[in-house]
Amino acid sequence: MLNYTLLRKLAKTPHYQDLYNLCKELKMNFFENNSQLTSIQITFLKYVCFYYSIFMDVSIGDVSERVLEDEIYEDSYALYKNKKDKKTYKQGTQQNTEENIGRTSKWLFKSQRK
Amino acid sequence: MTEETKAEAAMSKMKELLDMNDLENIIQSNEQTFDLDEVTYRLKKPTYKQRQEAYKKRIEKYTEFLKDKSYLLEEDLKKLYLERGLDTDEILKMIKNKGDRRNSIMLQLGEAIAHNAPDNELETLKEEIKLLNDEIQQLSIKRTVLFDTSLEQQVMIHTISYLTYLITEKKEGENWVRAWNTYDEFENAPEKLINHTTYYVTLMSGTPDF
Repeated sequence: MLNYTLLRKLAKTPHYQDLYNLCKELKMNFFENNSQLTSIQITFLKYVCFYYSIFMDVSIGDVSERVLEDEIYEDSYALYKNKKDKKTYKQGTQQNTEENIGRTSKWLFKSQRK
Repeated sequence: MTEETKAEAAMSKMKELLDMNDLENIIQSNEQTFDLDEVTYRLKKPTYKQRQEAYKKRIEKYTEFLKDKSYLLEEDLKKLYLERGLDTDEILKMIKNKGDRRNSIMLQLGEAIAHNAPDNELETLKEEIKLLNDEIQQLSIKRTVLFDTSLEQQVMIHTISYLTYLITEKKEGENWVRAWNTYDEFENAPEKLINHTTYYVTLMSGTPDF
């Protein structure tokens, strides 16, 4: 049986977090293989990204370091953040669409008057 | 902390480091090499051709088992359990309800963490989530055990075994050759070797649903 707690601990280490950051900046390979990722490599990469996002939030002060004390805290915060971001995105797109509709109707109105 | 508990803690930490080292080795590439009884074995992520071959075998097995009346489909098992007073759909419903309840508490906890709520508030919510997680796990295990003998599950086990047989290689001199010439040979291999190789295959492929 795969030990997910251990996999998460590994993904959270400064070594893999730094490596992930470097790979993003320098377009380096994260694993020895660049393609044909195995199922466990994909799961691991997801956890590395997951922790990268939490560490970013901690560093910009969105959340305190306490979030990293427990897996349940980490998962709960990520779930909450995800829901909040989706809501903000939805509101943003709705607002943009309304603004665009507004603009379009004005443009149409102007065109019709011509 | 007594000397004994200190030693136990050190041992447990050491074991964790060793396990972590093993895990790190597994994730570094899509190829695994290990030695067993003085033979070096290698497994690589299955190629498209190997996956296709395993898929064909899966269909073959499914058809074969369908003709055999001793294998029951999940749907048939469900009906049988219901006759005996065990509603497996009810277990699924319970898992879903507990999952929804858990997620809702997780959202509360997430918000509480983001807004720097006091420790005791976080701790209470955490304990509620833990409890629900345990209950969900117990129910999931119960359901998995109930359907362990189903035709679908047996086909899945066979597919994983067949994939293991297809992709395992052993070193002979400087060359890598197939570890087993026939599936029968694989089935008669030492249990330790089968367990070891099958474990790697599941880590590489996850559930082979193609």
